[in-house]
Amino acid sequence: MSGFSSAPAKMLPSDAPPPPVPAPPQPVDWQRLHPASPFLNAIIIASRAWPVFLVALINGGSPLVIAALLLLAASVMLALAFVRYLRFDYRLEGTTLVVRSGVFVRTTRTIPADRVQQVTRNEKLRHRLLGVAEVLVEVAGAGTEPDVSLSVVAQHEAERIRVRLHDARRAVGAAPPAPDRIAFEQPNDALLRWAAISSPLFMLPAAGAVIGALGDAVDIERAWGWLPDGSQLWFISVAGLLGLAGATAINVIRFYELRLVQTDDNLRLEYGLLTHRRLELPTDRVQAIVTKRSPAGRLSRTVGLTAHNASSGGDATNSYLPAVPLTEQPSLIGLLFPNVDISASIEGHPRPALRRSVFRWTRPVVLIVGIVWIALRTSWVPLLFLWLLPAGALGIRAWRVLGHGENDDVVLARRGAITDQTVAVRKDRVQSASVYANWFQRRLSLATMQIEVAQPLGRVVVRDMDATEAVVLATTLAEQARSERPGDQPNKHQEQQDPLEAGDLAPGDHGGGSQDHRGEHPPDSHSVEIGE
Amino acid sequence: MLPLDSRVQRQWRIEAAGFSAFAAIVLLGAAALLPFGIAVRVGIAVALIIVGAAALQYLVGLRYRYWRYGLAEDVLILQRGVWTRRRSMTPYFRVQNVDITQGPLERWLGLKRLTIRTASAFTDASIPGLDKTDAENLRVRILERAGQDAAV
Repeated sequence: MSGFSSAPAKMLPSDAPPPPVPAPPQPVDWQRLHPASPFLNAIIIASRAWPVFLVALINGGSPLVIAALLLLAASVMLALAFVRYLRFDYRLEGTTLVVRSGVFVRTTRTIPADRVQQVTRNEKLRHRLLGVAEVLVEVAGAGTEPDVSLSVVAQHEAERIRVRLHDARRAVGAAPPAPDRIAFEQPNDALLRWAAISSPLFMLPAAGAVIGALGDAVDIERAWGWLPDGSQLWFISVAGLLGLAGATAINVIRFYELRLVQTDDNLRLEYGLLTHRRLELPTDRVQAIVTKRSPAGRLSRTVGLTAHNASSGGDATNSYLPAVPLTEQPSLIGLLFPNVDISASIEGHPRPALRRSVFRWTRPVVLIVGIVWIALRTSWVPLLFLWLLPAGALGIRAWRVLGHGENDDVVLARRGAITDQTVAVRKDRVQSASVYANWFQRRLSLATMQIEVAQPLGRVVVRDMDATEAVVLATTLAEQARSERPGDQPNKHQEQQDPLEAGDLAPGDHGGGSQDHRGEHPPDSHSVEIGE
Repeated sequence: MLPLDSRVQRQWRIEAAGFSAFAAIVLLGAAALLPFGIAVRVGIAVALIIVGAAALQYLVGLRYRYWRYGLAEDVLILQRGVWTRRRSMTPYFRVQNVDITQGPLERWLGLKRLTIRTASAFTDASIPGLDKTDAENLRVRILERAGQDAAV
């Protein structure tokens, strides 16, 4: 549904002179992908089929037959990939990308640059050996329109597409592009610290302690008996260290040399050692920024930042900066969210929310231990109820962290028990808002607010707010979503409007009516007749 | 705020009855595994079926009584829910498309369901049980207000 392609006019000032047209839409020849693409694609597909042949081999198939089958499968794949390659072409008409594809059913996709959310350029190791790159064009929409993948094109061609789609986003007639500037460079020490600490194997000593404590239950002798006496400890240590180093290396390789480049009006994120990625990040499309502080982050004094824009659902972790030093955090948020004020104080939630938080964390312990107790009926099982203590502590901490705040530009929502997460959502990107409260919440005058934003983030949930506040805030958000820029509120009068019988979700508010949800009278029985 | 067309209760009652019938078969099958005499087994199953089916039918009434929708100046408001009460507000100008659907039961009863979609998959704006002409009118009114702005 490209029904909204009337948007390009919006990008120009209304009184601007007719665009000087830097690249007039002249007929260009249709272009094929890089000739290496069918081979690369066939290899990838064929490589997914290897388990079949492995199973055949194990089950006693003759190696010769299997090799022949393999060859046959590979050539079929290659033929298919080649046909698809022949039936796939594209061209840039001015700043519009047109892609024709399909072997039997022909599809022509026309993608005007202003509908492009993000252009990603991936260079995997195999691509770099061949001097090619994969270009992923993400289009706006609620997952109804798939991304366009040009896999693969020559690297200079990838750059040409990127520049063309990107240039169109700049207001025509603006000053010539400023040179690129590196806005943020991931410090190596922070990356290394974060990578080492965040690897799951960091938990190894803890796991060892648990196993040691359960010593009687686990037969260590049998598990390690095959190792020569005295070498077990060494074995465990070396294996652990190797694992730790490997996991660290994976994280470092993935985010190696991460940096943000400030181009003329955009940001570009680049990272990766083996697979090199380049993402165009149109900052005017960023709708939310998520800040994560994990235990690893706390130890390495870094935070993880994710910038969410509205795309049709590509890899949301693409615009992820895993280890931003705390000192750089404000300036980076300023880069990702230009002209957006995110300074707002975060208020905690009412005290009744504490009860729910503790209950939420302890409930699984009660359930699991209870079931184990009933199943085993052993005397030591009740000791497992000691897990209630850490669970309860986490519940208390989760309540302390829980909170929200707002200013003219954004809503902030914070939650978490082990890893704290703060989401800043631009108010003018809110798609819709809702409030819900179950019976328990209504008894406590609490409600959960959900802010719906475009995919792939989809929604931001603020749990257990004060019910009245939740209704008022959600209503304001939905009604003000219209304002083009955050900050200007053309519809001030609406705040005086009837707050939509806010009391319905907040029984505490209309005179101690906490017994009123048994169905005796519906939410607004005064306005309608029921049961005729 | 408007209630749904009261005919939707009939639709829900039939759906609930269908579900009950399905559950009854499962329950009777499960009862065969119980370690009691045949009379006790069937008795337990039948009691559960009757109680469950009655509860479902009772819920239909409640569900209907709590369903409200309304068109405010800038937003469509939906309010519903018995145990979890939910109110959702969707600004018209975020509307990407409005779907109207009609199942076989709805066709028989002359009802339609109207669903609004925005760029978020979590926007929950679907109104069941509208009289078919009401549904069309509502669609027109919503699209009128949705205006010309790009929604993303």
